[in-house]
Amino acid sequence: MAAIAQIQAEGLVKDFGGLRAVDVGQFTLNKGEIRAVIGPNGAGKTTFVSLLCGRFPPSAGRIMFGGKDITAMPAHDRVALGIAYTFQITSIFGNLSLYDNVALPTQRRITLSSERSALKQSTMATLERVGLADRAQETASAQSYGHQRLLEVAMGLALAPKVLILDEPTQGLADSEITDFIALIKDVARETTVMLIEHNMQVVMALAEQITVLDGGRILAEGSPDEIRSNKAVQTAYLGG
Amino acid sequence: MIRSIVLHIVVIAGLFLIESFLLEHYAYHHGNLARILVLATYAVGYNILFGYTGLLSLGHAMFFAAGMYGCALLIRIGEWSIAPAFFVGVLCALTLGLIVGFLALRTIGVGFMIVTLMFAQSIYLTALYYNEYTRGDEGFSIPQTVRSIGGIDLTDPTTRYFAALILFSICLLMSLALVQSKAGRVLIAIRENEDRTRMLGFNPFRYKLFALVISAGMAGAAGAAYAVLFGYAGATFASVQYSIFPLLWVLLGGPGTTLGPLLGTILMFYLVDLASGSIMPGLAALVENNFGIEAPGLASAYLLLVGLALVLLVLFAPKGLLGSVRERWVPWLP
Amino acid sequence: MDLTSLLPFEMPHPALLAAGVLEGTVLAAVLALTALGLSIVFGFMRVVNVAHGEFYMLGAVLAWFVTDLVSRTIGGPPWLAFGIALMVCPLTVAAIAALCDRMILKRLNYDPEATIVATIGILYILQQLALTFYGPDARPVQAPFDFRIQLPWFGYSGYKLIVVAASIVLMLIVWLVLTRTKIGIIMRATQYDRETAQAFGIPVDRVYAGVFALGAGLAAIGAVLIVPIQQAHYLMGGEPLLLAFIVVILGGLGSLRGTIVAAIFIGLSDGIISTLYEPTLAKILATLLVAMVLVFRPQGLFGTRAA
Ligand SMILES: Nc1ncnc2c1ncn2[C@@H]1O[C@H](COP(=O)(O)OP(=O)(O)OP(=O)(O)O)[C@@H](O)[C@H]1O
Ligand SMILES: [Mg+2]
Repeated sequence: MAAIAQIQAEGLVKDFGGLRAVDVGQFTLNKGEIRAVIGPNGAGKTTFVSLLCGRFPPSAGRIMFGGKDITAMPAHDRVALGIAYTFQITSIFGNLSLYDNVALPTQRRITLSSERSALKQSTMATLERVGLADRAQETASAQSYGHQRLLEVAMGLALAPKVLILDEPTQGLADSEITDFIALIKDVARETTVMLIEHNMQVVMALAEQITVLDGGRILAEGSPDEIRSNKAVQTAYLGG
Repeated sequence: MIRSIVLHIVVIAGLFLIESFLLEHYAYHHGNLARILVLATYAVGYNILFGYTGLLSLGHAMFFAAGMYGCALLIRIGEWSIAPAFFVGVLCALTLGLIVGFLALRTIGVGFMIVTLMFAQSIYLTALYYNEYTRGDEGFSIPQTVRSIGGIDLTDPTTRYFAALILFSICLLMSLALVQSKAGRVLIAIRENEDRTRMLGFNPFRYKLFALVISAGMAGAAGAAYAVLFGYAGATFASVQYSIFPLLWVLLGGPGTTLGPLLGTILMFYLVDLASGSIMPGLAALVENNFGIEAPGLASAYLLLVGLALVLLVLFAPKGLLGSVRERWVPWLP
Repeated sequence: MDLTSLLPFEMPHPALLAAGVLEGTVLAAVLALTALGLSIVFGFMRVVNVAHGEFYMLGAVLAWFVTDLVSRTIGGPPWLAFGIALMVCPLTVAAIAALCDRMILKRLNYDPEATIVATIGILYILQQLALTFYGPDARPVQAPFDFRIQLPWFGYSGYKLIVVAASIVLMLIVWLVLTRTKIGIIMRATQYDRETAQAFGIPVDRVYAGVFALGAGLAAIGAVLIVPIQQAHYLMGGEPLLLAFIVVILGGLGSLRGTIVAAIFIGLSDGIISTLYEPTLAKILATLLVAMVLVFRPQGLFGTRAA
């Protein structure tokens, strides 16, 4: 498979006051791949992907999406282009029903002219996919933490994005739910590029085709799961050597 | 969906049917209700911004006043007829909404509240400054002779009532349609979690501006209608107090419920009416006769109830009456 | 003020200008105190206190009650009654403010929007209570001293200069307390992080009530000082509230230094402008300026980011 770049970043830097949270020289995410981003706490993973999806502007650097420079593009327009982000800290519409939570991103795709039933169908299909369809009318904040994480993922899926960025999606999920989740992402990855921030190595090894290791805001290593596993620098970083 | 439409039709039909009954038996309340319907229109507009979009404006009186003065000054000075003047009044409010929105929506939370307050204050002061045209706080009246549309006399109580009812119904149904539309879902989402809404691909600024302009337009329509139907325009309607009132009405009736503004306006109108007409004077007489307390201003301190209502609502019933009803008993209430 | 009617021309005469500057200085001094109160409450509690002007009004109205009571019962020279009022009124107002904090603001968890609505309610309640018990009339309070300072063009009330001096002293005290004492450190600790402060055994609730009381007390002191110059009236709170808002925003929300600089600027210009020209126009421009500053320069015109 010839690699086509979906997202590229060059010289991407983000400073918070005196702290350089991200300093990534060169980064390429290829179309169709599943990429895991790993690294110790505070490595800058969330900040890095937030720059890609536009939650805040970089201090320096350039971001390209499908060959187009999107560095100055506001976040909502990037979503329209096809970059979806699910939050690490669960960010859902707590007072609304699961249905409404998912209908909102779905209605971006279902044009005004089409039927209300199309929206309903598509929304329910997404909820079905993450296994929440039978709870569609329940209030989001009343759900268990795991279900809220799945809802968060469902909202990302509902956008039918070109790139789906998931920030620690399995945090707080039960083992059985994790198994389902792995299957779900494998399924999603057939038509979507997936970028996954993950601490759970079982999930990383089951899904990732490529792994990027961040440490102190920099890319420490990049490669296939096997390469990363045998990488000395990564081992030291993780073992705190 | 269907039942909420039915509910609104029933409410409007009810307001339609009691007209002749009120006119015959309770002329005083007939007049009040016409006024309430106009003010409730203002509240319906306010609710779109505050109740559904989550933006608390402290300066909505400027939109009411823009509609009122835009219309009334054209009639008084430009000698326009009612219909086009009304139309221009609404246009003034929409334009002002657009300008204020462009600026004020760059701020959030408390900043937004203060910016709207300041803009409204400058509009109020402007109305005072051009005293020559507006006659300031004293205001001016629009002669009875010009208050008619196509030969229909708007000063006739029944006509006036129905004119107010039509305006109110249009705005009420518009707000119902809006909140049940896709745009309405986005507004509610912005109220609940703006950051998330943005990350789902919606431009919050654009939607908030849209809500603000609609809201300003309804406030302006209410202001223009007030001038036309009750033949008066004055700077009081641009004062801070008239920015607080719709907030109070909506808080009382239930922010984020379509019928809450009407309910809140009716209740608060009568509370203030009773307070200034009988409660406070009665209380003053009682105090004077039975206790040795000197309370020279008690009789006219009816705004005390407004203050108490605000504090009690925000402390004990932030969801308002219909909001609580929805929470407990009628989850489908729009 | 009275000079304006004598010289109704547009070009400021030096005498008029001097009068304007003096009026402006007095206004600036009292305004600085009032605005400092608002600024402290916002800076430390993140509460926008819309009822601030009513605490000011309460200070003035209570001063009338106290001086009236003292002169009727104890008698004595005017400075005695005034001195008692200057002690009693700010403390009473501070106590009322602390009560409002405990009973209302604390229960709202200091949610910014809810507290604004609540303080609007408090505004009406205080104002209408003043109307109830004080009545709709404006009443004067006798100045504690009665001597005039003779300037080249006109005589000037010496009391006004004392107001200015007293304000400066008070502001210095507040400044020292906030920056040099343990109380100040505790206040700043709660400002940065309520939970951690609580965990370190700082009585956060009491600090908050204290800060709110301090803010209101400063407004009340300003009002007691001004009441021999302006009469006490139940609606007198609106004007200082607006001016204090303008000052606090221009100075940068929560910045004490900025607040004082802005108070001097606004007080002087307001004094000069309203002595010489049409005050309404000046107010229109000032409110618009405030709105624009909030939109385009939320850190204020003079403020640095640090408090
Ligand atoms: N908004 C912010 N302001 C200031 N500093 C921030 C901000 N967001 C993140 N940081 C800092 O930037 C660094 C990177 O944070 P980031 O959240 O990106 O790490 P992470 O790799 O996602 O960590 P985790 O595994 O805990 O989620 C941290 O030191 C963090 O404290
Ligand atoms: Mg993270």
